[in-house]
Amino acid sequence: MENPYVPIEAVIKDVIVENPIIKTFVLKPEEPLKFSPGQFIMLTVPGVGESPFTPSSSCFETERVEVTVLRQSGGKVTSALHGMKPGDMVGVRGPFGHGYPLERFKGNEVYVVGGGVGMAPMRALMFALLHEADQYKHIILRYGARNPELRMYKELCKSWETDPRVDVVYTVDIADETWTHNVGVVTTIMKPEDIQDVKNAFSIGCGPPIMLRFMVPVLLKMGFAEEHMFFSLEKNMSCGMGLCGHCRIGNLYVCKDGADFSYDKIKDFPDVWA
Amino acid sequence: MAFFASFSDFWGLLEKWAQEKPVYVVRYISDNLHYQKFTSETRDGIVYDEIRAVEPLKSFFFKIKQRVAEYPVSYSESGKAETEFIIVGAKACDLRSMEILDETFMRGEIKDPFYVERRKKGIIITSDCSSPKETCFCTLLSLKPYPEKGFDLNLSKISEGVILEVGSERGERLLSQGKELLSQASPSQLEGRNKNREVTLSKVKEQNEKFALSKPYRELIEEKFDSSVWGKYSGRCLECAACLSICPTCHCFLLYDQKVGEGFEKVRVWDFCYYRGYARVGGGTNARPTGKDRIKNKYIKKFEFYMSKFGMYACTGCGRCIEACLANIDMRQVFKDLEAGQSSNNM
Ligand SMILES: Cc1cc2nc3c(=O)[nH]c(=O)nc-3n(C[C@H](O)[C@H](O)[C@H](O)COP(=O)(O)OP(=O)(O)OC[C@H]3O[C@@H](n4cnc5c(N)ncnc54)[C@H](O)[C@@H]3O)c2cc1C
Ligand code: SF4
Ligand code: SF4
Ligand code: SF4
Ligand code: FES
Repeated sequence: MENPYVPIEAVIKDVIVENPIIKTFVLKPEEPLKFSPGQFIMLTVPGVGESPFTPSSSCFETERVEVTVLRQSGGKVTSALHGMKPGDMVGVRGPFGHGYPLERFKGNEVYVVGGGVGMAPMRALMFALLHEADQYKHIILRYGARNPELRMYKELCKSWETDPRVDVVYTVDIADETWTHNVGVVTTIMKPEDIQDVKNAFSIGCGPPIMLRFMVPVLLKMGFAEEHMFFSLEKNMSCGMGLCGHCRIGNLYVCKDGADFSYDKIKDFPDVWA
Repeated sequence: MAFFASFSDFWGLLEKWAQEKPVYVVRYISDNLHYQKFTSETRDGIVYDEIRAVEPLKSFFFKIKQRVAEYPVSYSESGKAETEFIIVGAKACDLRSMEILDETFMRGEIKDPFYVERRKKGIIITSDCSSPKETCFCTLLSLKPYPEKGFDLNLSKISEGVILEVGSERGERLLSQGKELLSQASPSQLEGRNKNREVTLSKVKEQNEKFALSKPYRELIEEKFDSSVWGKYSGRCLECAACLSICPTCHCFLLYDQKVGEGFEKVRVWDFCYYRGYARVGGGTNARPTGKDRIKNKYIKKFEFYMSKFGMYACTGCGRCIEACLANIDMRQVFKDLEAGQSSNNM
């Protein structure tokens, strides 16, 4: 029987410094890693520990998988990762979780909202959407960061500004003199006029819990259906595959049943954003 | 199919089995019942009836600590076949606990290979209870203090020996090793067994009458999510997790990594949701920051989550948690208080 606890090896090919607290690690797994956007992996820093991360790269590249990692202050795994260099070895288990229901999105407007390091999985989603952009009625991205320095994927974001396939608006909580876009939290750039056919549109949100919590009333007011509003939940995970119990909220395992859920599935859990 | 063996003939059977594989029996060690390996020394004093052992049955299948991976050399301990073993004297509630754990560890898409392997190799011979403790409440979980299905063999102690009921092919094969030691159970022997069963069943039922509820556990929890009762109990709870570590259905674990020699290993160790760090995530956010959140969590997991996911409660009514609790917290009373909407003052 296959042992799902054994990680496969992956070599760090490159380390991209996104900003002072976020790095993107380019991994070459020993076997191609097939995943769909929104699925996550358990990444082992040998001898240190294991943590869940969602690939931020395109799911069409299975031999070069990127994860974008925020260094948590005092964080065991994320600090160790940030100290690693090209050539170093990590372990990978997974992918786990369901990923986004792209098939259901097709033919409709897709409203992608990323905040902070939550933009990482949203980048993988954007790659997948843009890969067959004509399948979706409209692709809309709203991305917020704390300040211009803490933004990630700066060049890619710039290229999207002039990409006719996507409607983007960027914001920062606190601007500096270089900043030419919006100022304010991400909900300030979410406008009813962003969407034409809101009843059939889908929204996908990933970011800090507080951001997701504030997004809910805004999306509902815009007219999104609860079953069409997807959120990524971050819960403590140990196994990633429905065995260890850690990630449970209410009657769901965030790892196995998610990690993305439509709002109707999670709204009744009082601790959902905690 | 039911057979009869005198006590000495049953020893003979145990001896035959023990020549091939380890056999564990239940015996008193000091004041309590524990599993012990059957040898010529432990042959005397085997307890076939009474109640469950102290240690949960899961300890044979889901080890408290287990190396589950070695890397980078891809290696799998699950490849190492385990040898068969026999457990004699598990109780109805113990058997239910395995059904509960099976749902998590071997019925999902991803299975725990270590558990699956032990389950395959573990032969469970159950037995009827005769002397339930005050803490036993299996009947509130629609169990009877004697196993009705799901065992390989079941034992019922009667005055002159044991009645052996066959529950699986594997059980039948075990008996075929000592046919000469068995006879067909007689109607009067079976009647004796059934009488004993009645007596025990009504005893458990009677002692739990005062804990009967007007609603299923699940409904009560959903309704009383915001009840002040949770806070009152969390004020008493020491968060020692004794109740969870002794529970036969708790399956939570933690994985950790460590260096060994030139390589590394991943170890799986039991973990408990009453510990503060259990639900903490990077950056320090905690999904269940207060004792009240955590105490409630156990009830949600056992009585709401498990029922909604697997159609069964993750509780067998074995009462181990009640016995273990230094703060005198009795789950049955917690439910009664939830129902009444207040905390009892039997502190
Ligand atoms: C599905 C999913 C996808 C994710 N994707 C990304 C991503 O793409 N990029 C990203 O940057 N982040 C992502 N995260 C978050 C990331 O997994 C965490 O930031 C990371 O696990 C932190 O690990 P750490 O060891 O550095 O932090 P630490 O704070 O050292 O450890 C966090 C873990 O240790 C436990 N812990 C911490 N302190 C204690 C204590 N005192 N006692 C007991 N336990 C303690 C916590 O409960 C937690 O399990 C994701 C999370 C999830 C659930
Ligand atoms: S919760 Fe208590 S009574 Fe129920 S199975 Fe666990 S230890 Fe036994
Ligand atoms: S809870 Fe029931 S089955 Fe378990 S030991 Fe007590 S009486 Fe026997
Ligand atoms: S045994 Fe009692 S005091 Fe200890 S954690 Fe359980 S309920 Fe709390
Ligand atoms: S992370 Fe182990 S059950 Fe979800």
